[in-house]
Amino acid sequence: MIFNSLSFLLFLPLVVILYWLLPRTTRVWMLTLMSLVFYGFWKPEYTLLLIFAAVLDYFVALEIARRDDPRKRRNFLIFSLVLNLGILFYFKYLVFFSGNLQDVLNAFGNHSLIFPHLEILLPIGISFYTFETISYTVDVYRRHIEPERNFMRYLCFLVYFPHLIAGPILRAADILPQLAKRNPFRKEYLSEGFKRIVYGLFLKVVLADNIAPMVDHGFAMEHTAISAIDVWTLAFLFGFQIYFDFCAYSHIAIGCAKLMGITFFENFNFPYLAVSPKAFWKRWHISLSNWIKDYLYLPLTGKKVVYDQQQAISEINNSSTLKGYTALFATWAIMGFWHGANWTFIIWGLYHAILVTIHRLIIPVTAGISKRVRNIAGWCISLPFLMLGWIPFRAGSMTALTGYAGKIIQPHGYTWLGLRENVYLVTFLVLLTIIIVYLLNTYVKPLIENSVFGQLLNTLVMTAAIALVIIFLRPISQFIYFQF
Amino acid sequence: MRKFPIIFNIIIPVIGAIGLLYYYKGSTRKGTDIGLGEGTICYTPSVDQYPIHIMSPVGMDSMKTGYQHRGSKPVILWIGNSQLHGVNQFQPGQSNCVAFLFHQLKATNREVLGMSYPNANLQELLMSAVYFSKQVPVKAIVAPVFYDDMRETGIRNDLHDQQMLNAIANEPAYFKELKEVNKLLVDTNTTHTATNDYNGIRETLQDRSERFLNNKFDEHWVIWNSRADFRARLFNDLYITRNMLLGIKPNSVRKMIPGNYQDNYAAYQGLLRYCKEKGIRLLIYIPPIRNDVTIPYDMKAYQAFKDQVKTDCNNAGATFLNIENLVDNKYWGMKKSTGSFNGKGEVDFMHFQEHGHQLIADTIFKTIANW
Repeated sequence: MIFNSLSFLLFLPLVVILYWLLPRTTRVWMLTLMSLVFYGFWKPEYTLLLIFAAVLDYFVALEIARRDDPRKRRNFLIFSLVLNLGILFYFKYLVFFSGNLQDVLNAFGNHSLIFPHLEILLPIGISFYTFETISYTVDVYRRHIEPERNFMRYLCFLVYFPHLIAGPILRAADILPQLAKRNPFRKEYLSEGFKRIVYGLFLKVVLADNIAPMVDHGFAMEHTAISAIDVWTLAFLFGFQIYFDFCAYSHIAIGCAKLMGITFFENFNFPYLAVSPKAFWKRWHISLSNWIKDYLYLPLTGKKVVYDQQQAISEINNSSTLKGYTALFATWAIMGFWHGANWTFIIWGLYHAILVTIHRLIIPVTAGISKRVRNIAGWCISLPFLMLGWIPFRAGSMTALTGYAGKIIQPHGYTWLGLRENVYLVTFLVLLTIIIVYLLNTYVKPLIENSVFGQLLNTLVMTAAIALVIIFLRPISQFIYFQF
Repeated sequence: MRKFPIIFNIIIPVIGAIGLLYYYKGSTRKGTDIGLGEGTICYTPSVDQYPIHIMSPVGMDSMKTGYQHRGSKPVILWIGNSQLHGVNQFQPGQSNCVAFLFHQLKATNREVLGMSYPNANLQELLMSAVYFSKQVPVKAIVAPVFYDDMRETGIRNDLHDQQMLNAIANEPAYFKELKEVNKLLVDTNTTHTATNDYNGIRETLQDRSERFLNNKFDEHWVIWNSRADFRARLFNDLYITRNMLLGIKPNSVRKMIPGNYQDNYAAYQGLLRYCKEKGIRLLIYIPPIRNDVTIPYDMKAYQAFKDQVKTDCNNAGATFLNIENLVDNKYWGMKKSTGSFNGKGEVDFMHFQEHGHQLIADTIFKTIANW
């Protein structure tokens, strides 16, 4: 079931009412059942895969916790990783690898071995729930958490519908205790949750879905028909589209959970106002950045992981050793590959690794400059390069990507325009709006939010947002991150 | 107020939003008319309650039923943009060019059927021509080539109709250069694409529940049923705001967009090839435009465009007509300002009054009378 649909807007109140009416012991059962119904609205048969992932790691975690022998504990962990990643590999990467292998064989003149053409439907949300279940088992292995002994509660954590399909990527340590304890009903849960849902739907159906046709058209055009300025414009515009789309999903997920008194960590924090590539990744898809850091980057650097559940983002010491850079590039390549089985995603990841590396090298040079100047200059320089990173993400193929790359390095590509005038206008206005909203949120909101004026303004904004959501609500598209 | 978060954050905003929509509902015109500008009405004629001019494949079944009732004569298909269905200063009882031609052809063994969309680009017209000729025996096609519409692109949601897609999928040779059309065909076979209202849930269980709920809401809640009109009004208001802020006037020169021009011209050539290879006679015309005011084109580029259209048309063995000066200035009209919300009216370059429709139908009739 997708959030931007009437079905979901009828499903959600039903779940919330049942949640608060039912006794605590049955809440988890109800939530689990409804979450499976939510998932089953896509392809009912794929719920079995989800249940299998839960059963596997529930028992593996219990076995790991029960044993003291490090070798046996490690074997169970490896068993879980192989199975989880094996399933992910089959559904997400097998087609990519078989295709590439075929190309390599053909290149070496071997035309006798032909792999069958595979058509495998990617189970929606598999990358997200696989990461969640892996992190649970690893946390138990690292003895950061105790294993959950109540299977239904563990299943509920994994399949809990607000985060199931596109995150935020939750940690067992954050959610299982919330599912276990009984939160008394508070009316603030309803008002806060509702507000976040409306805000998220506004971002999705009013902004993202209306930017999408411009982006689709721009990327559908022949390379010869667009200029270098157009490539930059499309990079910005797609950057806005994916931000509104994904941020919308996180808002709605956080809002839905809040309606039931369950708190998710924030997943976005004005990423396009980041003053460096590193800062960007502390503001964009925060739950994934944390996951990657804790379960991939730090182990690759050889650093000991200390998981602090109260700390959303822990600092990583910059490692300028060869091992550190190797870990950085390997992590980013994997992060890119996680997003999609295509070379363009790997290039997207490596591009960000290069940006982070350059930033690391520049930091010592800029140490003497005042912080304000550094921040403003950092933002002005970082933003275009961060946005440019969306080109490989959206390009779809290496041919298209090289076409766009070729465009931006040609000087004569900066002398003409190939898109409709509105595209440039919308891009500029969206950027301006993001900056204004950020400034209002940072400097004005704290001053007025407790005043009568602030409350009235909030009510007016909500009224307008709801009216627009009613006008634009259509399941016209899935959220972009569903495909990852 | 903080003591009553549900009242101020949920109840008042929800009631307020619905109230706001009811308030605006009263002053919102139909979406199809908003695009034409005030003063022009969208008119599609019917004969014996069956349409002879449609604006979406949705009307095709009904059109075909009427066509069969009338004896299934060979068809002259007239495709185009809103000039075909927009009648300026419309009065009850008036008609449009398709209806005029239909009546003129009554004595012959042919009949005309029309299909038009606002701001139709040539890619959409080619799709429509191919689709139509798979539905009824099309003997001839009449198609305007608007310089203005060479800026347009994208395939509107209405044309993502499965029958239309099947029709064009069977004639790939005429669409091979049209990236957007090809993408649409590919998208139709995948699940992760978004083109029409339900694409996000295509091939899922939710598709059924969503259509059911939407139909129920449409039936029982006038606001839900008018959402397309609200969207059209909102975009129109944004368009006026843009023009107001940037000082854009109706006669501000419109820049040609190279990529869109290229795609539309490829579609034009596709239409020429299609008609030639399928034995369908084709009449291409440069449509009427106001000539008493400065027109919003780069005149040198416009002339080059007309010359190119004519040359290619002649080379393909199709008939070419330039009727850009056919409709006298007095038969054009005004429309509500597109540069301010309460400014005085401005000239409408695209839509003329009923007499203009009569003139154009007469001219087309003279040309095709012996076909």
